Amino acid sequence: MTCEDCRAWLALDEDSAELADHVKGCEECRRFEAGLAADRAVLAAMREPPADAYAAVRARALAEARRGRTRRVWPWVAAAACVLAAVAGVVFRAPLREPVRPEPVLFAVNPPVGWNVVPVAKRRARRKAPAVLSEPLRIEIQTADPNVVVIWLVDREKGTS
Amino acid sequence: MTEDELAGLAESQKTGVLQRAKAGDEAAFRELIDVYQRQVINTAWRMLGRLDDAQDAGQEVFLRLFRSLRKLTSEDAIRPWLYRVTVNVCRSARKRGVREPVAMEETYDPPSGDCGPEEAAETAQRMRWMMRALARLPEKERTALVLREIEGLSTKEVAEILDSSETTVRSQISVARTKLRKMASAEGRE
Repeated sequence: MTCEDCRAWLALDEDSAELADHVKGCEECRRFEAGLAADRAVLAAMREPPADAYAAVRARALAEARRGRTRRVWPWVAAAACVLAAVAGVVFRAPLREPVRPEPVLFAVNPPVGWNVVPVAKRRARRKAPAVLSEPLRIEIQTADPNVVVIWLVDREKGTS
Repeated sequence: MTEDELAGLAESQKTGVLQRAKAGDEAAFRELIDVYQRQVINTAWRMLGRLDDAQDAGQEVFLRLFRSLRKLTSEDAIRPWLYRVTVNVCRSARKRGVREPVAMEETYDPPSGDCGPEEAAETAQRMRWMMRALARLPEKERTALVLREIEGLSTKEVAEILDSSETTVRSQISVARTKLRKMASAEGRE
């Protein structure tokens, strides 16, 4: 085993009889091994930063966390406000968009003279719904004026209006 | 109460802290910072070489922890997650061009222990030298060595944190150790 091999194995924390024999007979490798142990001891003693290093970090981390929490809440508040505003707009504006339809004016008139009014629906109505026959046949005529509807009421039995 | 029961109780209490932190309890989040701040700041310090840069990195890491609390399912997941994020934050900081690592003469105080003043001074000197030597290592080798030797993680844990193989990590650590020895020899510090 060469000194180079021996040091490589020592640096890898290897342990073997062959290695021990070499170290026993080689002063330089013994010094290398002792140096490794000393380095390890120094590094192991470096586990503590100064005690006053903590307070500042803790205070800053807590302050940042508080700010971060606030920053995280704001987008949700803004989103909720937008949703509320949208809902309110739909609810309160919806009736305004509904078209205003005037109540039609209803009145009955006699058919013009000479018109032959035939109660076409007489038999059909009798077959399907005899109970309705007692009611007059209702004919609605929509005029050019949307507010005016002409309605004829025709006696189903007699065929007269 | 057996040791297992005590360990289970401690674990449930810790999990309780995580759950409370998730629910927005600031005191619980502060507890988490207290538990893990040494790990985060020390790792960042050894990787970046400057304590003030490490503090900035630590702040960023804990902010990311706060934002990611919901993703963490158990207390066991926090430690490796924090190591991973710390390493990533430090790498990003180096890419952004934080200052080069420096020796810790102006900021580093050696730990006070039972040793005498001469021994403490010697230890402090060795640590300062080690910080300078670490700064001269390539980033990957330095990170692997810091996690293995300073943080005391196993090779497997280091490999998982660095998203690498155990073989690669062992090689990086071995090369780093050998380089440190060569630096020491070159400076007559054997």
